[in-house]
Amino acid sequence: MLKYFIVFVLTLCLIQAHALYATEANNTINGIEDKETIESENGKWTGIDVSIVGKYAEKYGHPPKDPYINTDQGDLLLFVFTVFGLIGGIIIGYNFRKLFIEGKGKSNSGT
Amino acid sequence: MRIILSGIIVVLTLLLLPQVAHAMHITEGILPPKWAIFWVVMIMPFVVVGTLKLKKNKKEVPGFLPLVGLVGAAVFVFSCFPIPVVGLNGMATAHPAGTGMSAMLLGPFVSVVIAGIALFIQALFLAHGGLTTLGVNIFSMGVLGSFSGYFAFRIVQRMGLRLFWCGFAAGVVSDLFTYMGTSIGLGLLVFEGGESLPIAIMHSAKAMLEIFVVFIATSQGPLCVAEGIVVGFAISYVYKVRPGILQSLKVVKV
Repeated sequence: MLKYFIVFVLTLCLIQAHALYATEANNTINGIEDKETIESENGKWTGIDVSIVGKYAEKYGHPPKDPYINTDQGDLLLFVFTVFGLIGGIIIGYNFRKLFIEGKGKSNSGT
Repeated sequence: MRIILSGIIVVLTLLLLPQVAHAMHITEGILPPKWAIFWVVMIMPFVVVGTLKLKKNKKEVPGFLPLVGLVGAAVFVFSCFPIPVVGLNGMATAHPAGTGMSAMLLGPFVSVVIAGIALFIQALFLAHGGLTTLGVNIFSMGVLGSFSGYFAFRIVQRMGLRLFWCGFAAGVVSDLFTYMGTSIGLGLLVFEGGESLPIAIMHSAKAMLEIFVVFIATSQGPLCVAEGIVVGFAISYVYKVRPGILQSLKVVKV
């Protein structure tokens, strides 16, 4: 129990220390204007749900709105896509191995 | 054999590249409540029958569950994998549906359930589609995509063509019907108002046709062919490596 408590306290300290450094770093870059270098929204490579579906929906008076759980904020969406891509890849790989590598040569049954 | 395997590995690797996808799903907030409820009612019977068939096949068909896992994850990844295409205002991205493949292997009803789960996760966490538009998205990708792909596969199979072409037809037709479903969902938005029924139907039909033509002329024309090729190769590979799976699922005759 004590071991877990120490680990918890150390983790908390680590997180707080990180927050302190982050604040300090933030102070040093305060006043510098941030600039978006990648044009994505409404630019090139926009998904057709924006360029086609969204435009028609707006034309018919029903513009799209933000999702209820809005992960489309900064790099958060990229993170979520990466996580789900990874999970999907693991599931595909595991079942692929089970079916087509381990089960190769078995022709009379599915397993 | 090695070429097919290499092709599949390349496709899977490309599929697993993390990208932010925006494509055919109808986004949150587009449907008014009455249409949102209408589409949920429309898909409910398919989801219920699909769930029952999934339970039944799990007990009766050996190897069914790993295949559901494999195909389900593939549909999920397929349907949020952005592919560069020529869009309405220049370059854009669109994605395949994947339900042609799942319907062909697992049956159209089970495929609806798989599409429903994939779309639900995407709507919940990936800002892709929406919870209020889940019904219409399941209808287009799940119901229309699965059933059209399944029947295309069976028709081409009866014509006696090779398995690759059966899979190709399933992939192409399911993709086209998925976008037809999206066009129907959007076209019905103009159905409301104080117009008389024939005029309202005509306006809706015109809107549906216009949206579908835009889809085909821009993104889905080449994309559906690409999906057909991938599905064709996938089914050929499964037949070469584990024909027993296809036989037990009654996809091919013994």
